[in-house]
Amino acid sequence: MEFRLFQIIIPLFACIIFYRQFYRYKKSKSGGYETILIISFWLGVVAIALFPDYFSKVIASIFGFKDNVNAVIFFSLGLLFYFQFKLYRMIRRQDKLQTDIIRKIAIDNPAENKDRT
Amino acid sequence: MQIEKPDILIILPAYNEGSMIEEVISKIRDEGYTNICVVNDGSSDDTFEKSFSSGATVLTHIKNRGAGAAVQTGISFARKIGFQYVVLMDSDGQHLPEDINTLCKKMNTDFADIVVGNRFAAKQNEIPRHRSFYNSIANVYTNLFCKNNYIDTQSGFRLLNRKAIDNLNLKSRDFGFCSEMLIAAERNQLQVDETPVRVIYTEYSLGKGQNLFVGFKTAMSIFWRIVFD
Repeated sequence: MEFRLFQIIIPLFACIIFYRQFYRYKKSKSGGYETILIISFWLGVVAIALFPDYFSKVIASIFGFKDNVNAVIFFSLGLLFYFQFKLYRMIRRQDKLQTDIIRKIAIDNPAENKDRT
Repeated sequence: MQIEKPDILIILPAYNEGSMIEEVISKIRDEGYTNICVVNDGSSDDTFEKSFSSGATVLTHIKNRGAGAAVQTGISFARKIGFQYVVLMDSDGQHLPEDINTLCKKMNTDFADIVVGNRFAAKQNEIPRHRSFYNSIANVYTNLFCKNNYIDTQSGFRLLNRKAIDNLNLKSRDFGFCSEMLIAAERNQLQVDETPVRVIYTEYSLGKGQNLFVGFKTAMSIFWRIVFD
């Protein structure tokens, strides 16, 4: 099997991630579930990097694309939009939480000038 | 049922209105309204000091959150204290306190839960053309989500009764609250009416409020809230 440059760089980078994640798990800075999730994600990335043609054909056949390159592009775009949408919702929730806290502080601490009738 | 002045809380959302707030509060007091609440929305000037020394109750947002958030704070405060009616007014001197009586009369005669001061119905108002244009766009957009056809959806001069105070749970922290209040009122089976009110535009007040860019952002925010929230 002839390796292309990205098929060397990505697995090497993933090894660094694995090492770092195991270290964090040993030091109890990361939970078991989170560790499994991160390891699984990067194993998936390595698999796609090592066998790109195979996976692009699988995605194309699942979604009905004739061209496997188009399948990868549209699938990636779809994923990106989905994550962007999730991030935006999270930001809105955080913003609302911040507003609720600021409003509660205001309502619980009214300033009333009792000297003025 | 006659609306008594002691039963009304006048809410003035204010962001950097130090130059006008004293005058506005004074004019409201001259009309006999003593329950005045300024929601100081993270102002960096002397809005708090001027409001406090004028005898208003001041609720302060430690950070600026927007006109909608300030209105929500005022309404929540009224709900907590037990006021029967709330009047929302701008703090830039645009609205005339004498017109509070007009809002009250309309509420009494039509048994409305919310009365909106309609700036376009009063012939003597000299509303700048660009403001009229922006407001007409906002009206068309808001009325898409409403059963009724409102003429001034962006007016910040409103009277709410206890039923509206208790049932409205607004979420917009920006100027979208103007439209959201009407949409939410209809969903909660509250009756909304409009009545003509006067408005005074000065160079100062024209520099405040919404512009086209803010209006566009508000429209997007309303759409997102209705579809996704």
